[in-house]
Amino acid sequence: MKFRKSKIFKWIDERYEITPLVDYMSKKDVPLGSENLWKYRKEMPFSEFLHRLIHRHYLWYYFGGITLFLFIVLIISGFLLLFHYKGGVDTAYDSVKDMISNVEFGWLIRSVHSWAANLMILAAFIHMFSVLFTKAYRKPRELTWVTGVFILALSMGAGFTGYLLPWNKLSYFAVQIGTDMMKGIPLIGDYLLEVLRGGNQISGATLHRFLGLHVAIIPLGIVILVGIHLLFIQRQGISEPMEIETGKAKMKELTGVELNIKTMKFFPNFILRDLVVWLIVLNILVLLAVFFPWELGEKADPLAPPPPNLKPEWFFLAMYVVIELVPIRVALIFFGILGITWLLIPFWDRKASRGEKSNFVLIFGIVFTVLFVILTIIGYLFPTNWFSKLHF
Amino acid sequence: MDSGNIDSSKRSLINWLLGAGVFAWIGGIFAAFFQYLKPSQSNVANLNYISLGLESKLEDPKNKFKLKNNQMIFPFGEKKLILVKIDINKYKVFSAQCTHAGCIVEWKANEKIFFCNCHGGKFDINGKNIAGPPPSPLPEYKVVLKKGEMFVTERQNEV
Repeated sequence: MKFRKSKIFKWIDERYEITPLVDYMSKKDVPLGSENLWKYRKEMPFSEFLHRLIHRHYLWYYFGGITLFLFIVLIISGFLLLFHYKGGVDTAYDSVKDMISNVEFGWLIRSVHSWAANLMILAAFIHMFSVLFTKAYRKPRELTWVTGVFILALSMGAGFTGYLLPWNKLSYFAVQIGTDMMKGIPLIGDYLLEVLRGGNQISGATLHRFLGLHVAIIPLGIVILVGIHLLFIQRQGISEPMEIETGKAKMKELTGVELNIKTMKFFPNFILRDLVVWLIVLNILVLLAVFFPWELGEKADPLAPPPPNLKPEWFFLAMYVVIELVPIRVALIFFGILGITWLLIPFWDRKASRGEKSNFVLIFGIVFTVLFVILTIIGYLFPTNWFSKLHF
Repeated sequence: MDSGNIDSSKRSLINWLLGAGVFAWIGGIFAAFFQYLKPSQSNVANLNYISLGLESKLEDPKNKFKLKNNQMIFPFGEKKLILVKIDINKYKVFSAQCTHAGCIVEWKANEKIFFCNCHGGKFDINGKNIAGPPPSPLPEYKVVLKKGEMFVTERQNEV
């Protein structure tokens, strides 16, 4: 390789011995599917099954990278926002307003930050569901799944805390309602509420705590977890879909043919493709930010009634609908059980770790996904007072 | 009892003591940590009553406390209260925060209800929850008039 012969490489390698690292990275492969398989598909009695062995999932591999890229965009745009943002009840809203009206490209940076946050959570959701349905969480990748679920949870936490920072009417009351739910948590609910708000009411103390959580504590947590997540992926390689793995074994058992699964070098081939995808995502992000700039709304007034039809961000809509329809304690217990069940999927889906199909997990995943989408749509479409009529 | 047994029982006692010590040490650190996260108590104003000034000036737009559409929301320490003029010289004061999720309610004079925009909760003129998700009535406060000055208090005899 040209790069390895370059002076820069040699200079670094002489000091830090990076050759083994580059060797290690260049050995990593991304499974793409088998062409070899096609040749045998008609000879096999289970041709329909074999047909499915062709790897159709590798498009999903990009969503992990997209999530990471959007996180990097969020960090950079977040740093830039901090140059002008002034945290405080009297200053927060005005500083954001000043930034988007008087600072060169301030509107763009803020809009990119808001859009990137939403797109990152969307990409993380898609990544999570693709991992679920391809059963990529199965042994030995249980902890990769666990760290991923925590990254998503922290990202949603970052979305929630960041929502308050412009101190506008919508964010003020959304946080009022969102934090009030804490009361429903048995034993520690009141404590959590007081700690999160920095008092009994949403105030300057809440804004200050949310700012700290949003710009320091949560991002640090995400960076650490992403580091561990990537380390696991680097050590174990990218998961091969279960169908291919079991199909290879079955093929060998029946025909004695060793299948050659088509692969792509992770470095530099897949990384370069990743970069192209990132470039496309960046373009989409900027287009969204330019043509649909994020609105600031009106300044929060703690002594004024909230605007009508107040709803949380889209990724909390499904939870919001459940909370509207059932008593808060029941909803929180339900979320708690669901969250733990979700987190521990790799540990209770024993069949997947043995390379067997498990319809239960598939149905569980489909029901969860469909319900999540339907509830999100209901939450988006129906006005808030519609739920109060149904409340029991 | 031979010396080996004594040693092993001593060792297990020491292990137990060390384990308990480490556990207590970690517990202490966590207790301090969780206490530290609680907000400072110095900022919590403990008000017994508040003066809204002269009743005759409540409708003066220049006044600090002023009625708008026969209602006014004002802070009372950490709390937020709503004062409603229901008739000449007749006022009612309640907590302005819906008992469901803490949103600010507003007085709908034509329907004679307090309405919460967040989830559609309704309270009657006495603060009683009559529709929607609120689980309990709005806490009521007293209005006391002394020489034309209006005071709001949690209990009548505190002014």
